[in-house]
Amino acid sequence: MSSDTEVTAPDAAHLLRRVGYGGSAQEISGLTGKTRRECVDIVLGFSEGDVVPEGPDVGQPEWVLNTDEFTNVADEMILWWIDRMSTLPNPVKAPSFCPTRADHLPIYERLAFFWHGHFACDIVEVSDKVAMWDQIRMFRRLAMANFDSLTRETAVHPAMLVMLDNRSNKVEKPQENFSRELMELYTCGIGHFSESDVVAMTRAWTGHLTNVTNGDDPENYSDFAQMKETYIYEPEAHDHGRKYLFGINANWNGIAQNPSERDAIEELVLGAKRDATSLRVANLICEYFCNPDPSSGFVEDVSFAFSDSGMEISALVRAVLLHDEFWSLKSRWALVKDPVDFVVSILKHTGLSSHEIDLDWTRLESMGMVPFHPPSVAGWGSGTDWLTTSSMAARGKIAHELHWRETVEKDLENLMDLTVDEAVGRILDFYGLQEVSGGTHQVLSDWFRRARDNPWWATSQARTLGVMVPEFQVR
Amino acid sequence: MSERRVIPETISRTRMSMERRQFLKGMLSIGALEGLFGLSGSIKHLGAIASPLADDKKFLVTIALDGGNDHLNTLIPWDDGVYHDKRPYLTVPVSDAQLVGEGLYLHPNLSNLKSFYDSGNLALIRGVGHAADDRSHFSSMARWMTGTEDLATGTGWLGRFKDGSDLGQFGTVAIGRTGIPRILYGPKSSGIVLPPYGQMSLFRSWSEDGWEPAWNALRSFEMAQAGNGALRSEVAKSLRLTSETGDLVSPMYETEAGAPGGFVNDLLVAADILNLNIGTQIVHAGLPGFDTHDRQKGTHEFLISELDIAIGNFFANLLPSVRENTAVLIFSEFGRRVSQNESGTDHGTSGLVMLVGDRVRGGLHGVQPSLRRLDSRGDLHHEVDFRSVYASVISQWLGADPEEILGRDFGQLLLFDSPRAFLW
Repeated sequence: MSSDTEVTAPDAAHLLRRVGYGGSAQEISGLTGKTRRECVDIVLGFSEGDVVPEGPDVGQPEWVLNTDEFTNVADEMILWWIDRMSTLPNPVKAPSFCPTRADHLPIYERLAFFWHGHFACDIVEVSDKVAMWDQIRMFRRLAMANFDSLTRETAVHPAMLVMLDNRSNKVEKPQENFSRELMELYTCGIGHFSESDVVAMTRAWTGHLTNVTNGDDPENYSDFAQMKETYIYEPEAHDHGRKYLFGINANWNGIAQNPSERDAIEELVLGAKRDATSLRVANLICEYFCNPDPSSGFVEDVSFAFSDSGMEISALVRAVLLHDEFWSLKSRWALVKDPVDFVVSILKHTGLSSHEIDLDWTRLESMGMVPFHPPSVAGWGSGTDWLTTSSMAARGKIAHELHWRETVEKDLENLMDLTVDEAVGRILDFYGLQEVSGGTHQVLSDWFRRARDNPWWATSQARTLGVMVPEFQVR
Repeated sequence: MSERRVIPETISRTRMSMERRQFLKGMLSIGALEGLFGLSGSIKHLGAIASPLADDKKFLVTIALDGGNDHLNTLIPWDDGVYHDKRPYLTVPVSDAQLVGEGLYLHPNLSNLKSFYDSGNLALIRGVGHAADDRSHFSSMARWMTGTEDLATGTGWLGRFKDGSDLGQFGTVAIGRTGIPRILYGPKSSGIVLPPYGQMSLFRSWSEDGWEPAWNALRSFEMAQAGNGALRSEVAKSLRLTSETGDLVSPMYETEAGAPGGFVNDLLVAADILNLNIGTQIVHAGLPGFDTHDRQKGTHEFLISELDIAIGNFFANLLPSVRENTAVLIFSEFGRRVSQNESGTDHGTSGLVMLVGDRVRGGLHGVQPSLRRLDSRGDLHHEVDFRSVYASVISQWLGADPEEILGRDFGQLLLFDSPRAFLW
């Protein structure tokens, strides 16, 4: 098996479920018959050897700036993102030339969401929706950049400075929150730093603070909604003493300000902790794109590619997507859809918008996943975490309500006129379920035989059951 | 039970609807399972998976205060000058009303817990920790959840208890959304997660007319070996469990409109599932947000208050026969640093464990950590191994062998009146 292997239709469908949110029949057939390498070039939007383009920019819409309605705007930001995920088409052709800024491809939404979970900031804690919008915009832009750049920009982004309190980390009163998680969660991981490294890293990050400004009216400190924090480095708040970090006695700074200082992020990403960071991030990417238990050989292979490239995320992602384990049966249908995936799948197949299914913060929270609002600094869970009775019942509720929502063009009416097989086939096609088990066929057939006596119920329940079959819960 | 009792702080928001009272009354007069079967004649098969517990069973509710609850601002050493020196901005003013002895005061927002203390039903176990003291949320909480120092352990101490007992599918229940909490994870069993009141849940619509064929289908996927991929059977099993759980608990959720919000809702579900007597012995709930750092002052006060109100409501809503057999264990992954920084505290070590219940041996337990003898990071030393607390609960309350569950003998504290067994 190799990069030159031709992809089948199920292979293409698998690729589009992983780098995007699933493909239409037309998109799947557009990739079928091409080689794995050609398909990967298409979905990434650039080829090996190209200068990697910057991720797409979505700008900052006026409505995000609406300071009066924090809650509504936060809801709108979430729904905007989910609608974007469900409506972006998959590419089926390689670009004729490599752009400097990438097209709006689903892979960038996948990666931006991954980095959002990795560098998890919470809109409730940060209390600044503009900063949160801007942070996700940055994740999209740097989704496939160098990991050093991504970590560096994230570290001093106002959302992070507020979230993990580095804005109050000053020489006389050190604040450990960010420095500890920078090592434990974002880069090398536990076991690769000591408690004295936490002390030294915290000292290195002193002075990286925020400056509070007040919009157009600098004298007005009464209007909380107008306040805006921006990053500022204050040398007088930085601990300029020598620090013993990772066994090296130097003039460490979180971000070196001059040649006499040693840069802590560079050490974590490209220096002494490079292997640990590379292995850890590679493992997380493998779990996110492939399967919950990637083999050590696979992780080592792609970690090597990552490290060898100088920690280019694009090299890591490409190595993962071209690896045999990605295409293997082990990875096929191996990931449980998280609640956002579940909702996006429904929207894609029904053609409905998030507003049309009354999606909101509460509905997402009931399933356990609200974008912009991760449950902890470690982000969201995965896999079987989504298979609890509570989360599944909340999926069921959304599914249940589909029965009275009007679909735009496609519908599941008049099932009564069909044979059992035809009716089941219609339901599965409607929800894009091309590869389903005999067991699911059987259960749906049995259900249809019981439900068909009442045409209205049969149609209603078909809409609900279609998204509750086991195959719809995985990707 | 004639109606839901509520404590004053939330009285306007927790008034039960008539339907809810009727439901609970109906359940309790007929007997829980018969009542359920009366509601839906077609679910008799559930008797096999949800049988009532024996009358003498002890119930345990565990509450994880996620993020690191501050020992020193929960049980406040007000009379110690060092406390004031180290925390000029964070001291919590107290009065004699909060005094529990030895110059220690419960946080003023813990008025319900103080009442429990005064009646001898709150044990304050001070200075509890683990040897690693790595100040990491994730590894520290993993230790507390698994009941071991070994981070490779996948199972929780209550999951192991369940698997070694005669408890059925509903033996352990978590309140929440996602992920079976590790504390309940057993080698053989998983567990049921119930959503808090006040948020949408399919369980509410379960008994709608005409939907039985669809809900039956959800139960049938597992038997039909439906699904794709390596997680096929787990996905199908979760659909079955969701359907079965819906049949059993949907009446609880149909009348949830009067729920007051916040953590109170989580513990009301805990009370109702224990009252329902469908085989649940252990319930776990988590209250997040204790990683207060710079926002400590207001945040900690709010969370402590939320905990207190929830505990008060929980006990007020237990049936008398359930209440006298219920204990609540409250823990956190670590305490916080003694000295404040700008306006909060960093991760620390030694923590406070609280145990509440009518049969709890109240009072001050453990050893008060010294504010003068700190470790190299300026953190409290702990004197009590967290597993000795667990061993006490396992042996004296649950009546099981702590060594079998925890791996070896960690000693015990005397935490219950008339303990079932007490092995030094």
